[in-house]
Amino acid sequence: MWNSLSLENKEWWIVVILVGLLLLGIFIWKEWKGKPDRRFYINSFLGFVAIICLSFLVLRPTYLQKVRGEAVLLTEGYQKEILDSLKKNNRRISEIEYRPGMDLSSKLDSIEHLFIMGHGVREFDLWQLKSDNVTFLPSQISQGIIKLKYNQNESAGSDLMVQGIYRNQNARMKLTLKGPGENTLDSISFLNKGDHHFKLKTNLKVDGKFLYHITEQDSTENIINTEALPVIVTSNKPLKILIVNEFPSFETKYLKNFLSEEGHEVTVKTKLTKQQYKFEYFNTDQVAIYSLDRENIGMFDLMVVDDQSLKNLSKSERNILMEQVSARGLGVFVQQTGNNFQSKNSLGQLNTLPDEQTQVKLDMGSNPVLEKYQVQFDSMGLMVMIIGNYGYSLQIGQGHIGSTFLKNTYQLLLDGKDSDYRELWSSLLNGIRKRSEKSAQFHSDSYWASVNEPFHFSFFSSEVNPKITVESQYQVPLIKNPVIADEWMGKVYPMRSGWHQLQLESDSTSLSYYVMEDGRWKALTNDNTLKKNKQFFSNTPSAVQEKFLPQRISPIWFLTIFILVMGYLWLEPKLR
Amino acid sequence: MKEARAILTNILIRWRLIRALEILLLSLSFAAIAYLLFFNMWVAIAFFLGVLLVGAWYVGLWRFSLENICSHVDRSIPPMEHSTALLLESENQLSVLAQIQQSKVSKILQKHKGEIHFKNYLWPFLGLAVICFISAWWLMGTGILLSKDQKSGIPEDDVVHFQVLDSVSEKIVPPNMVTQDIRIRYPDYTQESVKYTSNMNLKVLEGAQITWNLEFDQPLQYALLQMGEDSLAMNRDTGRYSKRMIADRSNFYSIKFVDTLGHGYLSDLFALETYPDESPKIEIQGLPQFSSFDFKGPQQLKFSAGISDDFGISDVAIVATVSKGSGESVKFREERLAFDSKFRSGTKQQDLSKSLNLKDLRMEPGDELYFYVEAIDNKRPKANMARTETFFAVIKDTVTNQFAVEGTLGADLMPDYFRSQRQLIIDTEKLIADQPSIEKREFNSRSNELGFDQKALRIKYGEFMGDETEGPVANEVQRESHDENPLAEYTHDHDGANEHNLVAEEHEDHGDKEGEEDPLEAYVHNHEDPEASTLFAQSLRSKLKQAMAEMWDAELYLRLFQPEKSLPFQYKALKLIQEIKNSARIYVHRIGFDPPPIKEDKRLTGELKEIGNYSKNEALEKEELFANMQKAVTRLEMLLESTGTISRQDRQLFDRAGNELARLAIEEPGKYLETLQSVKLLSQSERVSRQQLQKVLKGLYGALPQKQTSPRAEQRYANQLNHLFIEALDVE
Repeated sequence: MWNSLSLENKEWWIVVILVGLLLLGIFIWKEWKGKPDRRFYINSFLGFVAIICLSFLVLRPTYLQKVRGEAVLLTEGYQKEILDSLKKNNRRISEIEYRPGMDLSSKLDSIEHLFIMGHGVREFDLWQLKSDNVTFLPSQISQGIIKLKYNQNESAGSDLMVQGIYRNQNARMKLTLKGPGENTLDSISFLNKGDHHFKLKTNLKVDGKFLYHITEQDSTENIINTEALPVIVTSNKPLKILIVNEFPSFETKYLKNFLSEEGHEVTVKTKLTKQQYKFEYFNTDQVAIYSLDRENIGMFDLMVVDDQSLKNLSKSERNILMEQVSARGLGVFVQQTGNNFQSKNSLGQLNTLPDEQTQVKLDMGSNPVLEKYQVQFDSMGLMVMIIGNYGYSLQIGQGHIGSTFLKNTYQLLLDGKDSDYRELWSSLLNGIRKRSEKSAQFHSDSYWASVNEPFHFSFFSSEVNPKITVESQYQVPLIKNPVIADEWMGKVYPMRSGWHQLQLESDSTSLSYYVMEDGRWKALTNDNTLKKNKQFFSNTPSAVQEKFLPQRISPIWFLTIFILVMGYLWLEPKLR
Repeated sequence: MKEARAILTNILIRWRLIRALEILLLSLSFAAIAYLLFFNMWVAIAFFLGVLLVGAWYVGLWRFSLENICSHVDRSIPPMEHSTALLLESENQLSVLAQIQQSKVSKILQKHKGEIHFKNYLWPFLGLAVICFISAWWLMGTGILLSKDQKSGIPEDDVVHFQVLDSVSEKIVPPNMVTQDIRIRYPDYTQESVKYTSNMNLKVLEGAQITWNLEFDQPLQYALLQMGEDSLAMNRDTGRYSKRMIADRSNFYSIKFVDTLGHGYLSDLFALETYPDESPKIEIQGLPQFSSFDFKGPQQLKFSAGISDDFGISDVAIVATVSKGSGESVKFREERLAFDSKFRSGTKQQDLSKSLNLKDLRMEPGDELYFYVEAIDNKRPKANMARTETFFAVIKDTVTNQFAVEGTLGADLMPDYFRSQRQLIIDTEKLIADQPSIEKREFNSRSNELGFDQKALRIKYGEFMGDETEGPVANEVQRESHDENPLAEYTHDHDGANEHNLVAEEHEDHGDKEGEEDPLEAYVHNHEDPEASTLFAQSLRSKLKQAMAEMWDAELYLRLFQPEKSLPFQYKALKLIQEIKNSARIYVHRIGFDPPPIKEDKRLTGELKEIGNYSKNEALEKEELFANMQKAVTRLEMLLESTGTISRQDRQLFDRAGNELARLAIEEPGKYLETLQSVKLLSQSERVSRQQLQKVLKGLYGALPQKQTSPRAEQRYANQLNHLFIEALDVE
């Protein structure tokens, strides 16, 4: 009981006690009539009470009272019927309309239990709520794209793949992917109601920052909704490739032609005869490579070598190559000159299983059939990556070693299937080549930001004190991740829609992100919110905690007692 | 009397004159109205003539005669007492009373001749005509009835629309094109007249000279003809802007001009399409590809050729080649022949005929004639030439024996100095036919001779088989000088046919007579043993044996003077020989080139001292065909997103992108022309709406071809966490 008592003007208590004691002294001195009689004791006590009351008037004592109020927080998509039935149960329930970003604390103080109706409170407002005294009454999302996955950063020439789940209430809906200038690129129709997986695909022809669009159309082709899909298409950077062959082959001839015509820097070393080599340099400076050393191999992203040459490497060359692969991430593609997959090479074992087939149908383009060696790659192992149904890549430290069991892939070119050849070698080389190191990198979990909503990003850098500016103007404060030493986190609140950029001050590293106008991608946002809210409020409270609020004891009581006491003290000598 | 008649004639002429004038005025009025309505001189003239003719017919200018005049005079001059008609009669034919009346009337007429009038509408018609003319002139002058386009005198479809390029705030009256004459002069050789058009989309012959003559209603600073990537200034000549150029390839162009206030204007995009001068077309009628003639019959080849060209043919000829002889002694003779019908140079279409007499070409049996028709058009500087396929004509050679295997077999295996089986059959049939008319002795003798010939043939084939000759045959005498071995001619004694390839034998220098005499020597094996003879394959051998068996029977019946019974065997033998002949072709394919063997000890012993490293350096620029279009797309997307303004660099970029698109548009104008026009405007104009940007972006992006995936470098941040993860995986 006493624990719950407290004083509102606690800070004045010394003054009040001193003044009270002084008043009490004066009072006692004034009552003192020479001897302590019954009246003296009574009056002194009453005087003490009066002073106590007076000091309480100043100090304002409070006590803690249990909170009993209930409220309902109405978020987007709430159902009126449920609200009505809630109101029926509790007539005194109060309603709070939710706006994203609003301050809830003052309204929630006097409330013991809160109902949240609708899709829930936005993720960035959840901190204001405790999961304990809250009941979440979710309502489902009726229509729209509720899940979305796409590759936002892609290189030109590859495909943009947009996948997701679309929920429709009406039959015969159509989703259309539109490109720059509203070119229709791909579409999908849904005949039935319900949730549908969809996949839209288009070739990215041009590099730059683009807004693709997804439109929803009903059965009469009316556009119901259009949502923007920011895509950043990067241009292709050429690779530095070294090709080492024990003897000239058609495979290498066509491969080097393909790579050099694509603008890659290709150095080809082909053994002609004992100690004599043919060097070819495409798009690069003439630097003869007789034996591998750290310097000359360090500049390459990828080494294409036949198994004979790999076997014939000297011990020191082998060590250097191994070091370059595992420590520097060099990629090594082994060209097979025969079925020598099992023979051990200096870098690592390509795990293969024997196979009866002599031909394979490739999973690409026109599904061409190519000859193969009678082996199959073993996909077991944590460091193994299978490329298509023809390639193999094994991670060794930072780098990769890989190969293919296909024979004579140039046959594709001779058959006029240029695009298949291109796709084949692009996938093989892209799966193996070095990923050169960047000094810093941005990362964000969300595809885009929205106006007046926080946009979280993380930033990886080994820099001690990185500085990041938004729009090259304002510096963004960063928090360092306590566990991962090189991760920094930050958030920005964009004010305008459109493309924005986060820029590292010391470097050219940057992050482009698109800011949506308010209220875009509603279904997707609501679905995320719903999921987050369900997760947040699903923790069952350990014990229902009672909530107390300090309540002031009304000063009228002290005043009444004070006046009564004063009245008695005033009347008492007169009545005597 | 005569005077009175003259008066009447005068009156008639006057009447006709008045009526004619009325009709004329009316027609003129109508013509004026028609011109006013249609603005076409021809329509007006047609109206004029029409109304004139109808009026003349209606009024009947020629039907109205002196009699009508008389009745008119009777009516208008009472003193004439209805006797005017008497004046027309000759005096002699009238009664006395009538003569008196005639002279009286004549006098009265002379007296009253001034009183004869005709009711006429000259003045109202004149008034109408004047009103019509005045109103036509007035309307023409003010141009009230003219539509806007008609005012410039340019057909509506051809009117060029210009768009202002600058952001002009105040209202200005833009200059208008008042004349647009395009003069197309085809190259001289085409003999086409110069053409004029006002349609800016042109389709002309390659090499044609085009002159644009443009006239504007306001003075300009300058005008440009933007052709593809070039901007050509137009020459100013007394208010006219003109440009002359030769159309060498299809392209797009537009007209740009800047007025005196400095505002730029750009026209729509026009297509300049060129088509090449086509090669002449030759059609030959009535001639099979192969024709053969008997030596005895007529050797005439008749055919006609229809030759046409789009602009004129300058020359036509029959190029004939006669080949004489065969094998190494073949000789060719080429001649250019003219057609029989006269060729007129420069015409577009001609039908020519030719009758070729092979004898005139001094062709003999066995000779072959190859010929084709060649036509050259009049294109300058390099004429187009066309020729037909080659036609063949052969005069059948009656001399060559039937064993000669023509075609693929390079070597003639069959000796030609004895009668063929076919000849024997023919002779036998002849003998049977002759039987009734000749004596029995003669018949028997001939039958016996045929039997002998049959034997000779059989023995000859036997030689092929490697059989020994059974006895001397009549023509053996000819072969006495040769080896005893009857096959020596056809054989070569070396064991290995390839030996001559290895080492050159010295004695070849002084001539291997056998080799010289027998061209087959190099190709034929001989192992003496008839069974091992490789001259024919095994199946051939059996066939040949069978044929010889048939010959035996044929000979038998010939010797028995029963040629009828002999014939079936002869036919069988012939059939078998034919089959053998056909299979003999296979034999040729079995003769191939055997490379000289490599001496094993010399292999891989080459000196490498001279061989050095080879090094080649090449820079291959990756050819981006549509680099500027790609850049333009990127830039447009940014412009649309950021509401930025189009800078000078942007306009240059769009210009280059437009040039790239033009390459595509020339091939598929329907698809890209609209976009190209918008890009062109974008590259020139300062006033561009968002919709236009959107439209250009859509068009450009749509026109870009798919980009294919390619290997590419990638960067990533070497995250500590990733390192740790990979290390952890590796341990596993």
